[in-house]
Amino acid sequence: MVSKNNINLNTNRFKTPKGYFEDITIDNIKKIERKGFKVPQNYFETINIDLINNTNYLSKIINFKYREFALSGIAAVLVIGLFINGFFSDSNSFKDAEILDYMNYELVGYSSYDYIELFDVNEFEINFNQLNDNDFEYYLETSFSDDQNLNNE
Amino acid sequence: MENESKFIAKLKDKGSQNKSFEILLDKYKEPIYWHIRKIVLDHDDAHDILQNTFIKVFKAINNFKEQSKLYTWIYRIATNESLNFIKSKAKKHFKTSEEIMIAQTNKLREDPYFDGDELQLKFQEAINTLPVKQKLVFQMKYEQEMKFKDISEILGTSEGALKASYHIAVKKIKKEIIKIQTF
Repeated sequence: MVSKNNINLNTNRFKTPKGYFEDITIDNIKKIERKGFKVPQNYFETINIDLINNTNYLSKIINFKYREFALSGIAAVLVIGLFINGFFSDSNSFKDAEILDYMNYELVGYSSYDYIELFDVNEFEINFNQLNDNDFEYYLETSFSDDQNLNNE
Repeated sequence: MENESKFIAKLKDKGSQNKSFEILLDKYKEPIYWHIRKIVLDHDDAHDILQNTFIKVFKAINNFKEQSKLYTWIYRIATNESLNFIKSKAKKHFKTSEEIMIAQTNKLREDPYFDGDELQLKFQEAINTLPVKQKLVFQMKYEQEMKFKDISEILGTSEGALKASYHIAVKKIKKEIIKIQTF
């Protein structure tokens, strides 16, 4: 069996004639040069150290201004975000705990008569067949205040 | 230019920096401009990129480790600036870099800084059919007659891969030129 170490893995064994790639040309065809590109008159004379320095200075100013605008933008977004969160979000959305608190504190004193006034009785369909002894016991236990009210009257 | 290491030392030295930079600018502004112009095609774009290139050279000269030649380093910065410019232009217009370059070639007919004939325009179109890397290799080898070793340093690609790219590029361009010259 031939060991992998005995195989010549030298990739340089493929050779091309000397200067082969240097000589690749679009042969038989007259060499076309990309001509026709022009520059404004005396253009290269205007490219000097002062121009580069000025451009560098200007780009620094633009970068500074850009950074300033970017930071102002971020600050504005944060302020608006806090404003919206503080003034609109909380007042418009109720959490479950808040609803339960409201129910406990505001509705706890309501008697069954108060509930009757709140809801239209005709909308309720009571199926007495589904009520069992436990339901009646629960009613008697919890409607004590109603009995009291009746006795008082 | 004097010994390159000495010149680089002068570029890094605060005292001689400005004078040396002027020499550098005088030597390279024209070839670098043409290198950029052949990539982006438009004069105004090439002008902006040229300035940015020299600003970057100026800012980064202290970090230049002399692992490559100064001129290949400058060419690398110019090439990257040009390619980034095309990419950002493409992003801005929601197009690909290739689409931007095709549009740029089409604009050449109305460009006041271009007076090439129909053959030049067709040649430009043929070059634009190449993928970016092949186009760069073709431009640097065929037009600027750079050595593969230098192109390899500029593009950060192995010489072997560059030779293959150039070979393919020449074949494609040759095919296009034959088509153009036949009609």
